[in-house]
Amino acid sequence: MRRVALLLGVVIVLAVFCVPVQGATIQGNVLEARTPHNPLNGDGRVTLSRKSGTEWVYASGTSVDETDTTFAFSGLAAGTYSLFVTADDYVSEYYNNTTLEGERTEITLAAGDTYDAGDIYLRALPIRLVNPTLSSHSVPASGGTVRATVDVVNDTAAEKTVLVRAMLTAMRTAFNATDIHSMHQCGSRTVTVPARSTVSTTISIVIPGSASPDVDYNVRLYLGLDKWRPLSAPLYAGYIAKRR
Amino acid sequence: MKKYSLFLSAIIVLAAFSFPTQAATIRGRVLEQAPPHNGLTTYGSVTLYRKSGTSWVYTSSAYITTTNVSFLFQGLAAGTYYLRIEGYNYKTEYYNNTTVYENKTEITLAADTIRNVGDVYLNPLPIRLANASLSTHNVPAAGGRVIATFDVVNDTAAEKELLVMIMLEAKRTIQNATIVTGELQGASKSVTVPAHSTVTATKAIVIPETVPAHTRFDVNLHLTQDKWLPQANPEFLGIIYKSP
Repeated sequence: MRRVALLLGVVIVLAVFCVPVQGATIQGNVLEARTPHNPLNGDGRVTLSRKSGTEWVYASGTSVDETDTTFAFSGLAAGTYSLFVTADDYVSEYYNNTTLEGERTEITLAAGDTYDAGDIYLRALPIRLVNPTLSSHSVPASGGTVRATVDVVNDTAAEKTVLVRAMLTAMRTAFNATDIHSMHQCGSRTVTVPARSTVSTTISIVIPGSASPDVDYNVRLYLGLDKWRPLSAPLYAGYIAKRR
Repeated sequence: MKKYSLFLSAIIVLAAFSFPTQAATIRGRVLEQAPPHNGLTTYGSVTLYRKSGTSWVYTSSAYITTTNVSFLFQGLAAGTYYLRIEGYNYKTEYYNNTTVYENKTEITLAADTIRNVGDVYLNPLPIRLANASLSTHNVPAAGGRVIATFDVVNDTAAEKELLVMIMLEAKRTIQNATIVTGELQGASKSVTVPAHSTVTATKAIVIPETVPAHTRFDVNLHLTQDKWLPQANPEFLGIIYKSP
């Protein structure tokens, strides 16, 4: 009797750890649409939704980046799924190759299935900022000017007049250990970009002498038709420190 | 031989699941300094570091909220630790009751001990915003005004000239499914607050007709001495949605 009980215990433990789960898998790869289909310039996200009645319910999410462009959702229950792929400064897409929710491809999985969605290509936003740089990462105690330079890309067939703004996040440590921050606009430039062209522009950021030496600034660049109508995601340009 | 192996397997399995771990625990609570010592009005975190030679290594974090004020670090190896306690718009402290890193109390744990550090009290930042609200969360297609109301608190012994900037994070959908964002200054207001006083202020945010329908604005208040010297972290006020 004792032997039987022991044997049963071992069998149960083995069963828990060894019986394969009949979960299904969806896998794929996210790349740039433009040949030669490089990895995205930055991080992307793949969101998996599962159909529940007539609703789509969030099921899982995963990231892709410049070094790992692949994704896999495993251990999925049998059912119907869809994929939504996003990345900063790329056009968001539903699988397979549509920006329209109503036209997404539904992926129906039976238990244990593996579905390979293959290569999913994202297109860069047609109007965007690239190649941001700062002329310096510090200004003297008396204050100074830092120039932010950035390229404005217009891949559309029409000339575009856009507004590029530089915003500073001021960061300081107060009361020995408390990090606090605030944000303000520090410069802007209206830029006209011919069709299918790139124009480089520069915004001067003036840090006054009266600004505290205990504050550092993160610089982000914003692109819009005007300040109310953004056209792309903010672009980090770097930081500026005020020397003592 | 077979019986013996089975018995050994069972012992190994039981050992894995039944033996007590020789791990230590640190626990405590985070509350407001002022009686009656309520939970923080915002949220916070407790970060645990462990001494490794002459340096300190991040070990774990716990999050606290207004209602969940307790923290618990379990499974700790014997050693020397310290705690950093942060609350959003509270002064950051090191255990035990100091803002100075060098004055922190080291907690030495033997294996299998439980250390209750008791109640850790945080002080709110002495200059801060409170009770912020918006008059409405919608503006019609023709545009409109939203009134922001907020208290500026000055717990210091000196009158303060402060600048409150109302920043809007615009979010809109382009290309059917791509969400783009931009940050803009919606308005600002200078406020003079006598020592140990609170001043209530209002400011209108004007959303113009040219803003596209379905644009959503996340409204945050930024409190600064001038725009270059932040006094507290941004305070979320709510959203404004531009109706079609």
